[in-house]
Amino acid sequence: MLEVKHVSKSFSKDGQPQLVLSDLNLEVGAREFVCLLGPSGCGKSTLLRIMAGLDIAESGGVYLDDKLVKEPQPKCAFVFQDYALFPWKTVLENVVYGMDVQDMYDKKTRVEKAKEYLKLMHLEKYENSYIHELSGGMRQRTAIARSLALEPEILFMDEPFGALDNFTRMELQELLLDIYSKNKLSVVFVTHDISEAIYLGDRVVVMNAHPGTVHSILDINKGLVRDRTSEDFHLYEDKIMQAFQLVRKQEVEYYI
Amino acid sequence: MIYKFNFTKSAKTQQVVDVTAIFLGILVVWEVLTVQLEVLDAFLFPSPQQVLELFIGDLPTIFRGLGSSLVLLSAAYALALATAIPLGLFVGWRRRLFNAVHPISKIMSAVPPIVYIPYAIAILPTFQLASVLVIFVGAFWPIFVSTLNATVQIDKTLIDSARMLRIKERRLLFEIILPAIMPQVLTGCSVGLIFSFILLASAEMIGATSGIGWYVKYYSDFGDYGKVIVGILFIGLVVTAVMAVFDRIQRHLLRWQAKYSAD
Repeated sequence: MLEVKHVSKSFSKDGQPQLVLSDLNLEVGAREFVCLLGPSGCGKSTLLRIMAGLDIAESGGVYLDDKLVKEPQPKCAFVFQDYALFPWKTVLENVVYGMDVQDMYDKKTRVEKAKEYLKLMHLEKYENSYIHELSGGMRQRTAIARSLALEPEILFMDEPFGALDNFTRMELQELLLDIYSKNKLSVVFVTHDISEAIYLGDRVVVMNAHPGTVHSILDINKGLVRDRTSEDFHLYEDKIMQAFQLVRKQEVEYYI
Repeated sequence: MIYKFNFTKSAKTQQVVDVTAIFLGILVVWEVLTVQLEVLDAFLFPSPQQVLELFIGDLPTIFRGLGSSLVLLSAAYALALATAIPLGLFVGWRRRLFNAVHPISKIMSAVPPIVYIPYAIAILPTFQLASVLVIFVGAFWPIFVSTLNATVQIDKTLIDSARMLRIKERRLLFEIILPAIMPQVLTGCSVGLIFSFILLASAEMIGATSGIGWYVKYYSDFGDYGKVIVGILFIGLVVTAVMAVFDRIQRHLLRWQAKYSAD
């Protein structure tokens, strides 16, 4: 279990410290899909980076199975919005490299495993392509394959489909849900897209901005939202919209 | 984003034809001015035929000279590669070290290495050592500075991506940062290589007893301008050939980039 306990973080902006996250608490259970949803500037990406051990909280901390996270942990993988693939390596080499660094398997098995994951991502025809030859969607599929190859228990995803067109995004959402249901892993998924959060998450964490705090947490009945056009889906959307409006109202009252 | 340099076949043929035409045009003008019209002084401007004859006659001397020049050049350049790249990576990666070294390297790299030649000859026992040192200095700074700056400016997401793998620092430097900054490093290497040639020729003209730079200086002291032209043309050919090899290597190392992927 991953626990965020009283995490605060500030960045300096024009020499002034600015609070990005304020006393934030959150739990992510095993095999759970959690979406962090909020407007830009609400610190959701910062929170994700702290959870993954890429950044350190100023106060409070993140605990993975009761152990304080100070650096990236084993059995964790991260999917970045701009892919962060290694362009000097081919698609296959990109997937193999992570396993190589982590000393997983022998050389031959690594290649076999990599091919398996690429096939899962429908990339088997592009094994020997370089990254610049791929479309955005294919790049992100490569990045996901590379992460899955590490057999992570927690997969962190930072607006992974944010730069993709609508059709590609829906296709990848489908693929991600499929993988999630077949593997024993938790996913922490950052997005600013309300319907994406509802469609993917078991739980949607709605965040406030300036400073970032948890506004509310919405449990999603996954049985009901398989269909993006269903009434239940819209019901969840409405709930979240209301949450955000509430946020705005509070801010107005605050300024008066 | 995808930008390809490859010519179509007909454009390439056209280019060969055009270059040949310009080359022949220069030869014709040269021939006309020296032999046909005799407007240029024959002592200072030998005819194309004379130059060609001298060139063929002197080939053994020239190639011996080339041999000794290339030994100096490759020793110094290899030394520069082997030190400048790892140092640039290491210093660029350590923030504090970078802040300390950056201003110093700015001053040091601003000194034209040619001014070290007399001093290097004075302090080192042999001329060979002195020229290796000077060529090394000339090649070192452009390679070091380009590696340093590229390391500092590297895309931080690539580093994060590697950090998530819990990668060791050594592997991070040589397997992630180095290939990522390879385009900039190679630009520095090519500048360094050109500097090496300039310094090689300069050093040889000042203190050598063999080599391609020495050849030009030696015969100009005797007023044998035919051989001087031979030497100049030969240096041009050698530098072109070496840069062509460099270009090949660069294309191979950067084959993952869109602009080189056509080969």
